[in-house]
Amino acid sequence: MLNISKDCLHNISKKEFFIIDDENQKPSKIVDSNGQFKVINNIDNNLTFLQIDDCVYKSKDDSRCDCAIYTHSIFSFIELKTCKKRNSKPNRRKAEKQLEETIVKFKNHHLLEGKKLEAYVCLTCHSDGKLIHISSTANQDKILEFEEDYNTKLEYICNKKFEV
Amino acid sequence: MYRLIVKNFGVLKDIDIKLNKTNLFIGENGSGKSVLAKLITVITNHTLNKDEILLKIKDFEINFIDDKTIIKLEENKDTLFLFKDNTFISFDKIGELQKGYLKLKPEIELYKFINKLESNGTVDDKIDKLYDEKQQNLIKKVMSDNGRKKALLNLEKDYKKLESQYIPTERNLISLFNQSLSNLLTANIPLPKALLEFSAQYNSARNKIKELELLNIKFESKNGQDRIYYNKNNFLPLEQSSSGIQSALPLYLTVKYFNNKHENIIVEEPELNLFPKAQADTTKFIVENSSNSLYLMTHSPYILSTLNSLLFAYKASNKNDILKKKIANIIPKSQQINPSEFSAYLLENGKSVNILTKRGLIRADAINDCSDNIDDEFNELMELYREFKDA
Repeated sequence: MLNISKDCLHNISKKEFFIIDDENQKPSKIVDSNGQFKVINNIDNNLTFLQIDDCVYKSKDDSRCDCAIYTHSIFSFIELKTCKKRNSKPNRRKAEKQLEETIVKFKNHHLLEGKKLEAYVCLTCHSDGKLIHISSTANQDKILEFEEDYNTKLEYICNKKFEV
Repeated sequence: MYRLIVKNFGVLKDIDIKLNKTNLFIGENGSGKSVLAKLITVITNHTLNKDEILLKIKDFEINFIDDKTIIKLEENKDTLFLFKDNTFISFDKIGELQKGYLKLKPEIELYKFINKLESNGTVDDKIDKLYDEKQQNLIKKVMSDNGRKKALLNLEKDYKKLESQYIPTERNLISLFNQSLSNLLTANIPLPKALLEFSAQYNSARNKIKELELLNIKFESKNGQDRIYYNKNNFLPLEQSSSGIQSALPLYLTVKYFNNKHENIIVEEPELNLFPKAQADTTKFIVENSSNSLYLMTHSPYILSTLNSLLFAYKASNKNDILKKKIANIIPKSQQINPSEFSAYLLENGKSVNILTKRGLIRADAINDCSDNIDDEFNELMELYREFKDA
């Protein structure tokens, strides 16, 4: 059974914020600006931010995604990939795999009960000290696989808006 | 279902593919898509005898046969033909079919001739004048057997269906080519036989289909001229219309005309000269108008995405009646593709790689990777711009 420490769970009251994941400063964190993934909260309730990599799971294997953000009705798994060198392609396939494996590990956990599941692949690159989002061609077959095998909506974007 | 094996035929080194109702082939330039398209056209045409197959291979300018070439076509594990060691090892099944037809051909020709006479007035008067009594009796006897006449004429129709319709990329030249054809022939300019053949097929189609609406225009064949109406009253001759229409019209007309006439339709680059939305519309038109076997050779990610939608529409429609009804409003049933009747291959390094996933969609990585590389290039340029724009 998956045990989630309270240290990994964070109640977020901000209406707009970013998630950042730095390889040298794990786990992923909430920041006010210059993050990789933007979250807008237009609902009345607070959101919960869950640090997965290097918090829920401490081991060094690569088989989990970075984090998740959720409400009482939606649970969104997020994997952030950043390329460091010019021309190095963020590994979209690796991100998909990490999301899949995390969803499998979380399966049957009470946190997911009654919630719609989502998974986000967010690809960015450092450029001139800034982060730029990398457009990615959606993989239709992967989207169908997530839908059929994990009942999860897969998206290739770097933002999430929670609406009423 | 057919299985085709090709070894050492030009750039095609080791091909092993299932020929399904709808077939897709992708690959970079020079990967052998065009060679395979032409080869499929020849070997799925079961009206060709051994000599005609070799002749057609020469006409198509794909004469890559050498000592190591193997071409094998199987139907449910039965070998239909095998070409190996520069000779036809097996051709019996197709040969028998052809022999059966050739035996009945004189009688079929006679019925066709009688049909022609009947359409031009009273037959009795004409045969009295043209033939002696013995011949007259034979013709009258044949004429009285309506059941056999119908059966044989239907047999001929079915036999002709065994031909294949090849729609080449050069179709965009047809409007100019047809106009200059007599001059080219008079000047003894050597012309590709495949193009001449397609030109004749296009003319058959446009002589029968006088009007057709496609891609926001209307085609009308009037007084020997192919007219493209961009609105109700104004038209341009085909040769002066956009390059997209010059490519698309021969494709639309020949697909529609030969749909029920030929068993196999082979289309090279359906996307030729077309805007992405027009590529999607054209793909749907081709699928909707192909009741037999269809082969598509493409470079276009838009065509792949459209085919994935048509495959997914079928799959999702079969989940329940609510989905069936709602999906039909977006993709009509006539355009949906059953994944079990679909094959998709990437041609790479002379080999065929299956790119259909277990979920019945096209694994689009191969073409996505091309898009990623293009994105990488743009990102690299942008990085340089940011770094040095104030230098």
